[in-house]
Amino acid sequence: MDDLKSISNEERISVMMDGELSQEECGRVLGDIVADRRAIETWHVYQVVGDVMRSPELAPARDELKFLERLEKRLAQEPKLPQSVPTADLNAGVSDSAWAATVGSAKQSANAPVFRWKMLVGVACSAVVAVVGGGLWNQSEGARGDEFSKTKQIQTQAPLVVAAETPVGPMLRDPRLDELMAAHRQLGGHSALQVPAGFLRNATYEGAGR
Amino acid sequence: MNPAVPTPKQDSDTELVQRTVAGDQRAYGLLVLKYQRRIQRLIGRMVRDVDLVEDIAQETFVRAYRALHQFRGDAQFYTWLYRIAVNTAKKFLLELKHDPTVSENFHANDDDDETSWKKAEPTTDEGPESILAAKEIAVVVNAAMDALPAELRQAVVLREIEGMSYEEIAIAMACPVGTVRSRIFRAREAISLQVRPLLDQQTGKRW
Repeated sequence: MDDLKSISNEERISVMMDGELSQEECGRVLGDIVADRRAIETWHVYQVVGDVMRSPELAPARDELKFLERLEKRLAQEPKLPQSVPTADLNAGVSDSAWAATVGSAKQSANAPVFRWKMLVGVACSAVVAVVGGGLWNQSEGARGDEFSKTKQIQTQAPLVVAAETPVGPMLRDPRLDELMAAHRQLGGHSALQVPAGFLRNATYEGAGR
Repeated sequence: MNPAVPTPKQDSDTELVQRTVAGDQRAYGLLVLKYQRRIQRLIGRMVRDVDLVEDIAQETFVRAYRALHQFRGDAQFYTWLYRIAVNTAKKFLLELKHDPTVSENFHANDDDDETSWKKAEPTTDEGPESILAAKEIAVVVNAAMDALPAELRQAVVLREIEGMSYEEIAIAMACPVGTVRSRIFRAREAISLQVRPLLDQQTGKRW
C-alpha cells in the first residue's frame, strides 16, 4: 500500500486483516496494535463482524476478552518459547552470534532438513540409478545383439524373392516365412491375444453321394 | 525502464506467530481473538457443557502456544490449530468417558468439524441470556449490512464472504484498489459502530 501513512490506525488494521500489507508494513502495524488496547479492541470487533457475516453461529455468546485475560494469566506462567522462526525485523537488535546461539539451542524437529541426511539419500539414489540403469543397458544390448544376429541369419539363409509386381511396387515374399505360415495355418486370422483352444469343437462328414 | 515489482503480501497470522515466538505474548492474544469463536464452536460440537468447552478451548490455545515454534507455515494457522483443538477435545473426552455431558455425536463421527451441520439436539448448555446476546449480535450485523450503501456492502461482502483480494475486488467493481480499501474499511466501521455496544454489554465495560 503506497499511501499507508495517510490513513488512520483503524484503516491500517482493516488492511492488515485482509493480508494486503507487505511484511515490513505488516510488522509495523502489528507492533502498533499490540501496544494499544484500543487498537486490540478494534481488531476484535472487526474479527467478530467478519465471522458473523460468514456465519451467524459465530456471534460471541460470552465475554471473549475475559477468556483472553484468563488465558494470558496461564501463558504468563509458561516458559519462554524456543525461537525457531528467524525474522529479520524482529531480531534486528540481536547480534549475529546471539541469534546463532539462540537458534542453535533450539531443539531440532525430527524432520528438519539436515545436510547429512540429504547427502545419504543422494548417494543411495545414485547407487540405485546406477544399478538399475546398468542392468537395463545390458539387457537392451543383449536383446539388440540377439535380434541382429537372428536377422542376419534369416537374411543369409532365406533371401527375399519378388512374388508379384503391384501398382505400389514389388511385393517381397520370404519363402521360409510362407512355409512356416502354411504349417501353422490355424493361427492365421486370430487375435494375437487369443490363441485358439487345442480341441475339436465339432466335425461334419460329407458323404460322397451328396 | 524497470517494471514495478509487486511487493509480496504478508499473511497477518504468520507475522503474529513470528512475533509470539520472538517473545511478544500480546501478538498471540490477537490470534486468540481471531480464532477463539471458531475453536469454541468446533469444540461445542463435541461437548455439551459450555464450561468444559471453554476449558478445552483454553487448553487448546495453551498447547498451541507451547508448540508454536514448531509451526512452519506449511499449512494455514487455523488448520494447524484445528488439529490441536480436536486432539485436545478427544483427550478430555477420553478422561471423561463415562460422563453424561459427553456428546454422543463426537464418538459417532470423528470427521465432524465446525462447518458441519448441527445434529438434531443442541450440543451446549448455553444460558438463555448468552444465546440471546449472540443472536442479537447476529441480527445487528445483518441489519447494519443491509443499511450500508450498495458499493460498501458489495466491497465488504466480496472480501469477507467471497475471500477476494483487493485487486480482484477492484476488477470486479471497476474501481481503483485504494477505493476498495476505503470502502471495506468504511463498511467495517459502520457495522462495528452498531456491534461495539453489544460487546460492551457482555463485559459490563471493556477494559
